[in-house]
Amino acid sequence: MSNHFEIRLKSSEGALLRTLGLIQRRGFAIAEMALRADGEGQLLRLAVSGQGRCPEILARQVARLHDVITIERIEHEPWQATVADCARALANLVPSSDPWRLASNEMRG
Amino acid sequence: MTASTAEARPQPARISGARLLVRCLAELGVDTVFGYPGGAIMPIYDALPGSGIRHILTRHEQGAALAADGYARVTRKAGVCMATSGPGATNLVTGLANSMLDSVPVVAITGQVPTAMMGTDAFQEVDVFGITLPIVKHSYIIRDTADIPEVLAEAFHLATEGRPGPVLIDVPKDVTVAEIEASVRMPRIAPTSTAVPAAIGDAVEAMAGASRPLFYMGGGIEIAGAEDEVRALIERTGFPSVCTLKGLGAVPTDHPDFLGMLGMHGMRAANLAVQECDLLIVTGARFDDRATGKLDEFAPHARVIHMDGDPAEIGKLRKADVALPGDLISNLNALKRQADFDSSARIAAWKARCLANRREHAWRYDAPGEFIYAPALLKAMSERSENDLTIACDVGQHQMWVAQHCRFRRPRTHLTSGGLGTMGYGLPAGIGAKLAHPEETVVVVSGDGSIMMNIQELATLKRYDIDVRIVLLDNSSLGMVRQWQELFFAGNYSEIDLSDNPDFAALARVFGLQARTIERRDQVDEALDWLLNEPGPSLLHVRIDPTANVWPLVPPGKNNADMIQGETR
Repeated sequence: MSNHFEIRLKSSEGALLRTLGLIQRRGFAIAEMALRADGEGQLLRLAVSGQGRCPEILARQVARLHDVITIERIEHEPWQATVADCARALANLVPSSDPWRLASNEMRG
Repeated sequence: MTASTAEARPQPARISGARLLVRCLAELGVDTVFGYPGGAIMPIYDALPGSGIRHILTRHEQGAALAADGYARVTRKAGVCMATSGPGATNLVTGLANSMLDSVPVVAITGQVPTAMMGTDAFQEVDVFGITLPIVKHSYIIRDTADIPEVLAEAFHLATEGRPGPVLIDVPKDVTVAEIEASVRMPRIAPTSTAVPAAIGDAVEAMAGASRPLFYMGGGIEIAGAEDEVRALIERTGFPSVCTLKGLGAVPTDHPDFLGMLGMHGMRAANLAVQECDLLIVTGARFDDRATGKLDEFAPHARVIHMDGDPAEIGKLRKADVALPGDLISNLNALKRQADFDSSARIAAWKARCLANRREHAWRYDAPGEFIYAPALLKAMSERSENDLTIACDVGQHQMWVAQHCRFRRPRTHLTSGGLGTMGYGLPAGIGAKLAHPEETVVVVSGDGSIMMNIQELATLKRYDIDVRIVLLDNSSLGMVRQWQELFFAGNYSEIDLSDNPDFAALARVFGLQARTIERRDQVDEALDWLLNEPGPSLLHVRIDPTANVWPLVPPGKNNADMIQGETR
């Protein structure tokens, strides 16, 4: 069974890596992940499964990271797209002269 | 603007990043740094002379990290180590992991290649920030010289506040070379507030109603400096106590109600008490597997009150019936204030049983055989003076013998690598401890396997004339591995033979130490007198029985009541 968390991160160097690494080292597999800018930091949503491990303990272990502002358990819900997300998604549809970007879009398509 | 007006205007004083960093260290109260120079950290080493900070040049960066760990453990201040980029930084890794596992405040400063070269596989470039992410409490790469004061202030705060741990600061060379206005100042960071949890009343109620209560004390007491408070609560309640390897010294090991260390090589009386108690008051401990044995069968009849400075430890491995997260001192004081019950009659039979077990299963020192019996030597050494020694251990059989047989009346006098189990810890940790507290008698107890892991630090002892005494228990093998191969691998001895060891006394003399070798029981007394009374760094090489084992032992996967006892040699 998956557990869902919403984690607000500072913009400090390595914040995302440190948080994801801790979650995996504590025996949880990350099944889904979404990240977006949030003020001066980042907002991370995760679905994790721990095969018998306690999600409340994981939340406390994550909370003690200096990079983490808050962590909350949330109900599973689809990522709520913002206007900015839609704009970014639209921008990705616009043909670009950047060959790397083209290749990336083609691979996704 | 003409040249003459530019000359007339006073220019603000400027300072290099390296000098700013060293100035910040001094302002943070750092008096000693352990380290090893190299290319990327040279600007910082250029700024060190004349700063007032003493630099101890170890002979390997691991020695620097572990010496900083030893310094930090005895002072409860952050120990500081430094190394250059690349191999210098990676050589710190074991030390940082050691400090992380034992919650020791250490700040490690590493040089890094210039910012523009990072990510290009430059000479001596390694991503030490990435490598150490899992083994530090926090870490930084300083990318702007102006950030140095804030990062240092925060790093020292993080290393020591709450549950302490190591913090890494990686500093690219261009950041230390660049100059900024010297007027920049460090911010002050307020200590975290400590609120007492609401469950104190529940804890007091559980304590008042218990018939077989027991304190289970861990290293968190020393870390928090809560020894006075835990001793006061124990006196107030009259409850018996046991402790973990890292809890030794929290209460005097010769206290009348102390039952000894619990766990894999613990005292039988301590393990039996845990298995029989109806209330376990866990104080700064974390249900480590070496302490609990088979976790499902640990303290099977007990309700649990769990106090710990780290809320993430509560409920991690054993459900707490009463959870008291947060500042240990505040919690212990609150418990003592409210513990106005008298349960002496209710617990009288329990205490009598605990103390009878302690008498019945007391250590014996009448081992047969001709060889020097290491437990007897260690007991005699530790009780030789009224003032406790500070003993820094390595890892292996001798580490367990020290924990079992040495007397510890004061906290922070037993330095041991409890979590990581780092062979090679003892000598550099002893160096750190002695430099921090020169008035203490510091003895390193090591084995013939462990000593060779950081033998180069004998040169550090000599260079700075650091008065550390070493007892080297030599069984010509990797004794703990040999014991496990004997007991659990059908005597298939694989790669444990060290019978071609060097002559350790001769080796110590080459490094400039005084040294002796003994191999008979009748030599022990005189040799200990020599070791403890002759000033200056020295090494006592003690040959012991190559087949000696550590007893008792809880076999892996068994509960703590299933201790086995073998032949003493």
